Amino acid sequence: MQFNSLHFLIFFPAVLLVYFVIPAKVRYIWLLLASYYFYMSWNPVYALLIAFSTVITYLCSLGIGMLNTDPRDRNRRLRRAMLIIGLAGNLLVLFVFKYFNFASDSVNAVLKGFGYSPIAPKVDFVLPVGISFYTFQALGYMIDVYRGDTPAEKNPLRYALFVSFFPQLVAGPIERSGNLLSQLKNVEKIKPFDYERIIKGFSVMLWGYFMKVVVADRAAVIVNHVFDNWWHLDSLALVLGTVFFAVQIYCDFAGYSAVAVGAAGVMGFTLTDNFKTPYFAVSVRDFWRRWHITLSTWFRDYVYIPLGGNRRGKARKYLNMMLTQLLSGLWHGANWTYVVWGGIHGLYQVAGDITRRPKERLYRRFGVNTGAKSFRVLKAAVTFCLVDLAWIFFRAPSISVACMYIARIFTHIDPWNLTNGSLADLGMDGRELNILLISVAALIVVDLLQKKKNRRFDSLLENQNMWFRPVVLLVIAFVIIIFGAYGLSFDPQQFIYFQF
Amino acid sequence: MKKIIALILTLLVFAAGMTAMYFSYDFKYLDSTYRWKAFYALPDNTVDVLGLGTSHTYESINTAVLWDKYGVTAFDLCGTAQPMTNTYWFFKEALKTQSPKVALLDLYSMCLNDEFPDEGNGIKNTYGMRMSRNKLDAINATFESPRQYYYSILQYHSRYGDLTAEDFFPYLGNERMYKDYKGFYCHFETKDLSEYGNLSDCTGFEPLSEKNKQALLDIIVLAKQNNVNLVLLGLPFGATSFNEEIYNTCGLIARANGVPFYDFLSDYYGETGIDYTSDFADRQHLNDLGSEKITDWIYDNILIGCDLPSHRGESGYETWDRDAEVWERQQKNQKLASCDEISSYAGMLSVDSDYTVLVTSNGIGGVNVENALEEGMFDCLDALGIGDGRRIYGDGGWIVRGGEVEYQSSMRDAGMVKTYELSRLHDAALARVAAGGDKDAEIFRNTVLIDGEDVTGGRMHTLYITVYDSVTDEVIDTVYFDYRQLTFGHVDTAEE
Repeated sequence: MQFNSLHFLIFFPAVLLVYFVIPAKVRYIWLLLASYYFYMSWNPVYALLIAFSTVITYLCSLGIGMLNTDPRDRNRRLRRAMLIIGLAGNLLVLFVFKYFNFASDSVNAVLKGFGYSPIAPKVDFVLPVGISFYTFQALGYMIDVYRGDTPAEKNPLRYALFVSFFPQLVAGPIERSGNLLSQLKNVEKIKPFDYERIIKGFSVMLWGYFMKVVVADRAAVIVNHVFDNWWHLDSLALVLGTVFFAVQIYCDFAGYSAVAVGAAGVMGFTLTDNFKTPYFAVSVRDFWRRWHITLSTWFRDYVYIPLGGNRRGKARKYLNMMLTQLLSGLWHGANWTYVVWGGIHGLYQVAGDITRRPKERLYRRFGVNTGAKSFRVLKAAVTFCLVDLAWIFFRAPSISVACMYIARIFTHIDPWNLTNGSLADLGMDGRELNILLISVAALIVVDLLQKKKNRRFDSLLENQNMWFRPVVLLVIAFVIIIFGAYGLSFDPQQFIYFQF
Repeated sequence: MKKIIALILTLLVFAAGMTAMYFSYDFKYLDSTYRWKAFYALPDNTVDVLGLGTSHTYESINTAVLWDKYGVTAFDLCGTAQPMTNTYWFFKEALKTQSPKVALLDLYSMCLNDEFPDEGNGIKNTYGMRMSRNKLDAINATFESPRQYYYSILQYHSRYGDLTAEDFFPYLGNERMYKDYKGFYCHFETKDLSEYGNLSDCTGFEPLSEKNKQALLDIIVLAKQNNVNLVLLGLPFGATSFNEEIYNTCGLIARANGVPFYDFLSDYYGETGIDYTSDFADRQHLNDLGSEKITDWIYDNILIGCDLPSHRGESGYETWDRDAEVWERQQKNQKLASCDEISSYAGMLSVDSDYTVLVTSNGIGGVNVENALEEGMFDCLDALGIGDGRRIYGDGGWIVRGGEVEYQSSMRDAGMVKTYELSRLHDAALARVAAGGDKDAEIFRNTVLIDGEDVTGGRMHTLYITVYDSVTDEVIDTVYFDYRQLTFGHVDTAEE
């Protein structure tokens, strides 16, 4: 069940009602049942996969945890073996369900290139939603146990809930044991009904729904039209399509995360904020501190640093950065376009690092005031352009299409398109386009406020007069109900990141 | 405590907003969803004849004629292109509050073989029902993925671009016209269908879809269980051999189940007096003349033997009186709109208190007292109370309502506009505009605007009379009298 489905709108209040009423001791069991029901609503068989991941990481972590108690670490090999078993088991499942066919296609393509017949087989599995998320979450926990950063969880049901907690199960945030698991251990201490907490949680959920249902799904209409017809569209249309894709993917993913954070917040759990106004980033490196934060920190802590990070010289550092970004790209999808997308971001960061000192010297030489707001705006604009260019590879069906798309942007420039009405032909009528533009403007205003005040949406409302928050929430609710892209007129847009 | 009050107030405002949204956004199609509102408003057990089926039924079974001539209470509970499965659910729902003695079911939808209708018609044929098990079953039978249609808000929430003034008032903004609506609706146009006709030679049988066949059988059973005399009809339309072969197959089912079936395409062709050159509005539907003929025939040959009481004059049946009055009104308007005899036109205008007449004249004209047409036009103006006796034309504008001159002006000032509210949904204006639309032109003319749209022809030296009817809430006619060319006619704005 998706967050923007009627099923969830009935499921969540029902879960809450029982959650508020049952004894504190069994609340986590109720949440576990609800989480498995949530996941099985996609496909009952998925429960087996998540259970497998849960069991294997639970057992391996338990074993590692028991062996961790040896101060001389005499069982280092056994500990490592357990870690490897846990990693291999989970990554194997991930590989089979997500990457097997991609690998087969790639091998066959290489064979074909050399004049051989394809030999690699393919499998007919449907990609289970959220498998990349909960696999990484479970692996992160197991690695934390191995490193001694967190004790092994002995309660299997509590651990199972950590892996399957429904608000963040299918599209993150990817939680760390230090955050979510420790809260689950203290679930009995959570006051069931806290007015302010619940209102704040609903506020965040509402904002998430606005981003997803009003902005992202509406922007998708233009994006789909442009990317389905790129070969006969002019430069401006292609640029707009790319810009709206940036809006779409941000609002889709950040919207989902907001609903997840809000839903968890209603129940008394604090999930990690996954987005912090990413399009105001002043560099690509800054972008990755603001975008899908939990994934980038996961890769930092479990891939980049173990590879050596920046501790082994510049060349190794850049290699590690590239490898991390390439893997991050691959994590997003089983297609070379995602790998290239990741690689582009890697190159951006490498280039950014290489040119950092020369740029600083240049700024000093020419007396550029790097603290000026206009300079930061310029940097943010350039960063947005770089990120948006990379998004083309993320969205395009193939690398060749992405390259031709980009080439066409520069070869089919027609400034008259701004005034000759062709912009009205982007798959959306004028009224819907106006609604989209106004919604994006509202989004920018809220994001600017969040950035300036360094506070999340719910906290922005908290410190206003008593009447202000209900009025804002009512307006947002009615905007979602009236202008939301759902129902007969619109194709429901599944959250983009679900396919990961 | 303050927070609790704030929360309660917020929820109340939310509930009020959702209620307002429901009343304004919900679908109000006259050919389907609105019909249910009118049906539910009827006193229980007052309908003796229930019309079922598609638009073929509701444009043929004239409920006003049945009441006016025979005192029979009828209601056409139908929907556009309504699949037979939906007809079953309509019938079942109707039986919750009514006990009709006769159900007249037209079989046109047996010719529609789609497994599921298109979504628009699906919504039209399910959403008018009150939420109930019947409605959910109807939705399940109508849509391939029915769950998203259980909640109408999912479909109507995006109507913000289609909302009209009618959405914000009860009875589609016209209480006199729609409050007592009995489901009958027809067009007044005429289309020659002489190329269609008798299909008696068509004796083949076309297999029915399983879904349609089962639905028909279910209706037959339902009628028997509820002691309703079910009569199957093959109402006249521009049919082909395919349609007749479907009807032949239906005839077998009818005979096997002891249900009478009147096939007007073949067995009863010619008996009703339906003229295929003049009695149809389009290929699928009878017009006003055709509906009267078929309704009279149905009463004289079918209903008369069903012991239907006449309820005329009885208390509790006043809504049928009012519905019949609307039909009379529509007929009168039709007569006016098709009247080509100017003196008769004058007569129809003069005695009607529900007409608002807007008159404009342009340019100075001469006088020819020996011209019959002109005399007729003077009669018109006198009937309206605006003839000045001197019989000299000039620029001017008049608004006459219920025989009283409410406004008159020489209308010589360029750009002048006199607005006038016709109803809560429509307004009119007398305006002096530049001829040909050129703002810099020095020639101006007087015109009538209805909801901002020019309804006259833009001719000079011409008198225009626009007639608005407050009962049907519509402009029913605009005529012109060119006092230089001495011509009279109806303005067809498309041609002008």
